[in-house]
Amino acid sequence: MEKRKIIFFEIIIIIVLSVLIGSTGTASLFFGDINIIDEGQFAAWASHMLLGQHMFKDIYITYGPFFVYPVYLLFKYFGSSIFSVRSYILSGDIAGIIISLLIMYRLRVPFLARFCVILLMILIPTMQLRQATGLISLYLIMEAIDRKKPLWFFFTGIFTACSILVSPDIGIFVCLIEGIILIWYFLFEKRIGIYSQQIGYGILGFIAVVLPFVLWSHSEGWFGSYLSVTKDVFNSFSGINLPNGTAFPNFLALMPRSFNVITWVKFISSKEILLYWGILFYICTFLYCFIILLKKGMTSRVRDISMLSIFGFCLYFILVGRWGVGHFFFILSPILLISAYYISELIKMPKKNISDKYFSYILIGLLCLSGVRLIMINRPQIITNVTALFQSANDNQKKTRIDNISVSKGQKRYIDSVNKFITKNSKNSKYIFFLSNEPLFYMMSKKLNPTRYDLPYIVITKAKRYEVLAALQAHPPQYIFNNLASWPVDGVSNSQRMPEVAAYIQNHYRKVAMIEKTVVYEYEK
Amino acid sequence: MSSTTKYFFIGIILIFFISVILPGYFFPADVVNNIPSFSEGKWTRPKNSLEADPVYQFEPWRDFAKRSFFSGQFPLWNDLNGQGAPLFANMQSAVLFPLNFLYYLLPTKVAINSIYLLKLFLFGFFMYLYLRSIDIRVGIAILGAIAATFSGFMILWLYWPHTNVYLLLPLLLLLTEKLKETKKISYRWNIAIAISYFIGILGGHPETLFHIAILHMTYSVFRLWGEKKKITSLLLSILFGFILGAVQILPFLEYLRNSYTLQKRTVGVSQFYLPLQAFIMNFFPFILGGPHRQYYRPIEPQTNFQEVLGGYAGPIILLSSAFGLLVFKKKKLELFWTAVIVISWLLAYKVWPFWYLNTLPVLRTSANQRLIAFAGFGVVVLFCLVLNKVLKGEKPQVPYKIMFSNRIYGILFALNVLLFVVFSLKNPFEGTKYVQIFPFILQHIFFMVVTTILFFWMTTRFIKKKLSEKLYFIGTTIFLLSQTFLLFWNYNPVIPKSQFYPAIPVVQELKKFPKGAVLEVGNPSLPADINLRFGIPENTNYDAVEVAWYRHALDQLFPKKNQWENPDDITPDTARRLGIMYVLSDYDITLQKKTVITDVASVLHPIAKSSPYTYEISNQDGVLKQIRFRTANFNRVNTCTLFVSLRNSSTNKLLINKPISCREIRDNVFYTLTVPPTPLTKNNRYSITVTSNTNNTNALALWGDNGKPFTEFLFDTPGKKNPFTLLAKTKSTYIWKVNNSKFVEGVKKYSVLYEDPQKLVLDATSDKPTDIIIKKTFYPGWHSQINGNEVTIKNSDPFMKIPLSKGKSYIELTYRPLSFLVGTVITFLGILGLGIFLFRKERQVLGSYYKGLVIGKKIDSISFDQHVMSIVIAIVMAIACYAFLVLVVPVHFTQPWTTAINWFTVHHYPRQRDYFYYISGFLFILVFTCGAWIIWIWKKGK
Repeated sequence: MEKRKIIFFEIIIIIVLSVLIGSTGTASLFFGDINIIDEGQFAAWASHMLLGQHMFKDIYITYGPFFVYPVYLLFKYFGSSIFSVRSYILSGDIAGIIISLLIMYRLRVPFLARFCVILLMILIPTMQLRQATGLISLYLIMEAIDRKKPLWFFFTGIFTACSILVSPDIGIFVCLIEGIILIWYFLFEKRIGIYSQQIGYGILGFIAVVLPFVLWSHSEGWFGSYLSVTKDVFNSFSGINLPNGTAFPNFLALMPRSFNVITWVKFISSKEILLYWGILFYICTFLYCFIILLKKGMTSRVRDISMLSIFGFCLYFILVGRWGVGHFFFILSPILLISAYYISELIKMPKKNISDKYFSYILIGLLCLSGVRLIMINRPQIITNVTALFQSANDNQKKTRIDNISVSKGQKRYIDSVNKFITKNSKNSKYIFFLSNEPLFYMMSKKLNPTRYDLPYIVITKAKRYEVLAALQAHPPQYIFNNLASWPVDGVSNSQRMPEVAAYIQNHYRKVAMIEKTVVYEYEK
Repeated sequence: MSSTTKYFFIGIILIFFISVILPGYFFPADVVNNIPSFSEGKWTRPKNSLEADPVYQFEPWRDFAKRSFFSGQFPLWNDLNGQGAPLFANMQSAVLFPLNFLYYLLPTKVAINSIYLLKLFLFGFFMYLYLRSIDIRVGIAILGAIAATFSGFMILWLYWPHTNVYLLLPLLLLLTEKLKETKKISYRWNIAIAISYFIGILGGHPETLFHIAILHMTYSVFRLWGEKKKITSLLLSILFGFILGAVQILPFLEYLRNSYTLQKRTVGVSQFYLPLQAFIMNFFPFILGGPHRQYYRPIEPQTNFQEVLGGYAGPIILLSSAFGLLVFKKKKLELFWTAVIVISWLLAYKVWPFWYLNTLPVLRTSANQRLIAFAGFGVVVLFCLVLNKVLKGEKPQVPYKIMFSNRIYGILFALNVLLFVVFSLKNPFEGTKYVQIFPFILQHIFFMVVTTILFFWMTTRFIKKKLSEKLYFIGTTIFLLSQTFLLFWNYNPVIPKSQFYPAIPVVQELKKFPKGAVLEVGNPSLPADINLRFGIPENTNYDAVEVAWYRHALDQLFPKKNQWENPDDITPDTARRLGIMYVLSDYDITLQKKTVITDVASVLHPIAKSSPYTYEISNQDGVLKQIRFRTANFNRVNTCTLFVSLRNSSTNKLLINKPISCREIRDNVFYTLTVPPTPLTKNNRYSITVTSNTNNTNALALWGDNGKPFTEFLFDTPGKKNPFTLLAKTKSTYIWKVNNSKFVEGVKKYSVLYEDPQKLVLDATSDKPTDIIIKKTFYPGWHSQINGNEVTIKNSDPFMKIPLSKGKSYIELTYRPLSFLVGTVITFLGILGLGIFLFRKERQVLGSYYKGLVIGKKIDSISFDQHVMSIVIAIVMAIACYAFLVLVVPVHFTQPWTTAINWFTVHHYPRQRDYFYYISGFLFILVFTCGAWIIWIWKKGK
């Protein structure tokens, strides 16, 4: 079959499988409980924007504006629904998987390996729009360098700007890689003049996105807020002022003290040590690039692998900042792509002797085993998603739907009760406030949050706490909700994070209702 | 490796060796002993009484910068002086000067010793190379390098940033010569020129750089005349050097724009001249003594030793150069340097009508007297050129028999000896105040004349071929060294550790109390910026630039300053307005001060038993508690006892008789004598007598005029509410607390949550919207956030004013100057561009090196499984080594300051630990494995 047709066919399969089985963090498009925090935040932000608020100025967003604004457009044209949010998130995942497929084509990964990696990416939540924009930019620069055509450089510039505006940290990683590549070519490229010209096209593409964005955001009056919030996010996330995060597992502390083989195997394949395997994988990849560089110089393959490795190395900082299986999956995409390349190279490699053969098979086996281990880790999620697919016709499922998404009875009941309470009791009030991290209800109730923080767990520094306090004092919401059963991020509840706000609620509000585990406070004048 | 390079590295190693074994600090830190609060009670004479700036400013700044770097901060802001002032931007701090990196990396003693020795060595080395580049013989070039290195400017300004820049002069001239030598434009020399200018900018003295740039450009145009491309490339290189220096230049220009100094200097014409009579010091440098000797007197009150001797190279060199110009055929280069010398002299000394040049723009604001350094440099070059001719046996153009006559030398020598003997036997200044200094001057003149005569006599012998070249060289070296190196011996002293910023009682006392700004009243006790060494804030700044509005406020509040530029009186209002928390004074500031004799025009005659001061005063009323004088000891150790007595003139009743140990008395400071409470009445006249227990003139005196010493009486103020609380008293200094002085004004309740040099965090509560004044000097680059929202800071002359809304506010002030950011970006891009350019140019050379290693072929010759095995083993070894290192080398992490409440703060986990181990572990394992694998390949290849 013609290559283009094969790619098209594979893309169709990716879309179908992603939609049906789902590759998002929680569920597929039609089934699975709503993630009140992750999906809820997008829903809340877009909902606030529909009510006339502006990004960053009135809403504290930890991502770039291009990550959020499409949700607002979806809400505007298709109505506010959690289905729109999930569709949007899924489309980002699919875009990432498709770009991974194209990268694998560049790396000449054979079909089987390609298939396995794509399947893994669908079954394990490795991809989001954030990584997708990063990978798209990387793919474009790979193509641009090979093709040496201005249009590719122009698009690289466009997508670099987009990646910054989708996610500042991913954007910076992309810029870093592009900077390294540029320096490399400035050092070694003979025709530097032509390169400079092409870089100029890249810069033009960058400006083509950034300039209209600046004009637009400035005209709406939130450009300054965007810069200050982004700066604040950077300052917070790089330092101790991070809303969440726990210590990285200590390799030496976890090491078994006995020499029992099974204990050691368990230790080596444990989730915690998997993080170290990731680091080792990148070390090996850098070594591989170094060796090939010494042998053959900078081939396009080495360049591509190096770019992916640097991207992966940078992504790893996110994992070091906050470790966990979810974040491990988040940073997995470059590892999977490079692994696919290794497998194809190991298969193709001429085996000079029997030990070469064994070694290559051992390495392929280890890489495959790692894949299996990942599936095993995400096993419960995969089973849920696949079984949900076959229960779609079930009547019970139809009864527990929110915006066409089939959710559990418990979640349906809880969301409905809270929503009902708000609709019934706070008709005259413009504002509500959730002390627990449940931004979804802002969309559900179409109410505003008097503070900028729909996820109050971000409010950790004194400046932010005072800001929230001042906002609550300026526009006291009639009701404040605190779900005692909601997830205390990293074991620290929001009351603990915001002692001043908790004290204010204690002094100015009274408990009026209890919806399941949610305490409802009413404002006392 | 060429022999020059070899000797260069040997020299470097030797310098580090000397720096380690030197029994002390090659630094005049003992100069602080002139301040009463240092070496309290028992005065220890500093080895050089003039070298204050390096001790007061440069070393404390460098130490502050080092501590900032170690705390993970770039030293942009000095929060401890003048309620805050730019540090990096003041340029003289030379934070990024390459040699100062030794200070940040090495132990203080080794770093200090090596920095100054390296400065001398590098200057000498560059001078040697320059002289060689203009075809001077090796031996003469070495002599010239030694003479230039130990000449006036390098030695006298060694500790100043001036010499950081000046040491590049011979290098720049050398690079011009190299550029001249090459047939085409050579990018290497151009890059070297750019980098030299970059280093010059980082050196920290823009004025010297400006002077050097003018000389260098003139020299280059002169030498490259007719080669337009080379001149253009040179000018572009200089421009690129300035672009590289953007990181330093932009913040400096910003500071200069907001500075008091620029305002002051642009008002009038440059007043920096050397008196013409000081020219004699080019022949007899210690004709008025020296600050490191027992006797010293400036030629004019405002002209110090360093300035007048900046062009000194020794009479041998000066006269030889003149001689060479007279008798030999003059080449262009000699004429050039002659012109440089003459112009430098004419501009530096106040010579009509040339001083009108100093009214020209730019020249009017710069210290042109320091151009004299070029005269010193020029005469050394001329000397080498002349000596080269002499040794080559070049025939003179004019008859010079008279000059080379043995008889003339004999007569001169005999005359000199005769005068020396006569004046040694009979001091012509007997009975005057010059009696003691005269023998010293006589010896000095004798020495200079004898060495000069002997040199010329030796040269005559050599020209007449009666002396071998070897002996002539040895002799010349000895004579040159005797007029430079030996003459200046101990000018830059080595001091013991105990004298290196000792923790004095004043500091120890201040450290017991909460941190707050300190102001000196009267005598200096903890002068700016010495306080930096002790981490104590001081209300004044001493950085030669100064924030304009702060200085104006200081001048407005304290219009009258004493000889130390300190206020002599203070009121509680002025103290509070400036946010002063503590006052250091030499007298009791709660007493009522009355200056009874006001004149301080000169130092009176030395006090002796036979010649006491006796004077009468009247119209005094109150209970006398302290008497204050201004003392002089001429920087000499004294062992006598003084007695101060007060009598009622009418009754002759002795009211007070207090002894003072002469060891307590310093030069040009106030001495406060605490007396038993003595009631004085208006109607009575009183007589004061100051006398000594010995007739041996210990060279102690008081300042005053018309035979009456400056005198202040301090009376009791019964019943007056005291705005100052005495916290402590050391032997020489009172430490006061200013009652009700606030750091933040305009708000009832506030607390400082965090403070570092570039950040201040406050928690304030206000019951109404208001403007608050934070007692930190306003300066562009400071940003303020209230509850996370950016707020504009206003200048309340001189402090920061910010609007506060009602309720609780979390105020965060941070210093992030745009000038530094832009400068850093420009410098970074410049260095990156330069690196890329150099790499591309040198790629072939590097490529041939790489090909020589033939690694690619070796990799192919080894099978895949062996590679895998070797890498696996290397990785396992690397992991084991790293794990071992982590266990063995404890790295201490402290949790960064934050108001955040999250998992890290709840569990007190230092977050940076994970990042540190991730990056260090990654790099360690990667580099270790790569290294091990490459070594394995090599072994295998063999």
